[in-house]
Amino acid sequence: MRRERLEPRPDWRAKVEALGLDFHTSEGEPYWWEAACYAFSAVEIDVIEAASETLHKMCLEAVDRLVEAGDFRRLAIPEPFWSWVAASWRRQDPGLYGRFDLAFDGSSPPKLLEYNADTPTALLEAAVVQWYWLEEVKKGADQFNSIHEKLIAAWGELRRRHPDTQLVHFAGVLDEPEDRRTIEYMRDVCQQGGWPTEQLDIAEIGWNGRAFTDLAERPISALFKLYPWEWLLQEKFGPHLLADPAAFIEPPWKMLLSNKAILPILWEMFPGHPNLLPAFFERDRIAGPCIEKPIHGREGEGVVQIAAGQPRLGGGERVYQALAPLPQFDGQHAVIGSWIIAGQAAGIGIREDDRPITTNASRFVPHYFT
Amino acid sequence: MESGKRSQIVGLTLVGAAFGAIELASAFPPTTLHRNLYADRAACERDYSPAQCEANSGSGSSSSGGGHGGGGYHGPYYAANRSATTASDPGPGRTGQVTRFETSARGGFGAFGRMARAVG
Repeated sequence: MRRERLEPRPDWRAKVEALGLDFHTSEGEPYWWEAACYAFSAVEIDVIEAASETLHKMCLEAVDRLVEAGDFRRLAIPEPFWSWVAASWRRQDPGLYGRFDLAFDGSSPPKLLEYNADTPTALLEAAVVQWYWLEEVKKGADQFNSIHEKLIAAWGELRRRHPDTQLVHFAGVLDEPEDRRTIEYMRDVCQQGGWPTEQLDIAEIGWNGRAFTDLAERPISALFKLYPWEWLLQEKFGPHLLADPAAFIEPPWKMLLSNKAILPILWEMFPGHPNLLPAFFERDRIAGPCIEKPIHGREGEGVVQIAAGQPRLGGGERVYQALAPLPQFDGQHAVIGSWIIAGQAAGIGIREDDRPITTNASRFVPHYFT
Repeated sequence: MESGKRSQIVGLTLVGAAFGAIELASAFPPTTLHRNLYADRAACERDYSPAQCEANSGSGSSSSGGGHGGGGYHGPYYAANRSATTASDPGPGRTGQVTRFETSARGGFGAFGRMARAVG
């Protein structure tokens, strides 16, 4: 695994914009970064793929155990929703996507930093934009990226399982450019999978006393939401979720995984596993430096490094993970985002940053392998 | 290069330039809507046009008398807050022959998202 410097395509802005990536620059700083790329060997890609499949299986085992125990207190899920979440798992409501953030230096086993099981951030970049970059810049090389094909196939399978659902609604915060584009992309692959779609802002969803409704007052029977479960549960319509008959994507049981409390739970279940870092609910279980993470933080929000012997910093529900400094390539800290689509490892996207903690401002850098 | 690890074709139908200028819902509809339920189509058509009257399938929350069951006819949704109406609002009807009305609320999701966006 190495970082290569490259000359960006002269018209890269127009090219990525044509693919929907009009948020390639944020506050004057580039987000899509093709002045470099990451190069892997086929063996290294196989290692990432195998680790991702293993972690996915471990996560499903963890969900099964949590549901069997029936107590989601440590995940800070409000008790009125526990049986509803458990029922979603017992019905085997299908999950569509998830992204493991991995620390990987090309030689040691990949280590799970966190699991983004309920937010498709950076999906368009990974599935589409870097694929077109490869076609033009590294033609003849390969890429670990069948995300697009697997998404279309997954939507097609969902369509076959729900023949009575005629329309899938997509909702999110539509005046957020990244969310809007990601929703458009998900609609695109859903439609290619055979399902008509419509989109609306999350605030436009109605409640008619029996079902959530769209702007035409039609009941919503399937809802793809780009909006965290923990927010939906706490908002005014949250209690209606318990009565609403719609199918949600991602399903409610995914909130057991899109929660950093899963990190210490995985460590409890699989202590010493080579793809995990030691993680605990208590600060004092880690003697050395560690990373403190709010269980519901996203995109690096609230994540801080704590020195050895230093007490916890934040309030509220937090977990503590042993420090695994991100490997540096050419002075950049790189994180592998490894996508799971319909239960299969499907590809990766790489984010890099000058700083050791990845945030929503960290650059997306394409990759290839030979 | 043939490989099981990459998509062979990445075709897009919605994403990209053609969808560049999406119309955003900058003005959300009124927070709460009502629609009237009538005993029969004739009663509904005294308040609304035939096209606005539909057989009631029983969806919606009853807010005034009667049960939740189907039957009868309902008119179109109108703004519950009469000071927040638009030109296209069909209004609450005038005859008073309404058996009950149903309520549809909006704006119950999205607060955290707006707050996160505002903070930054």
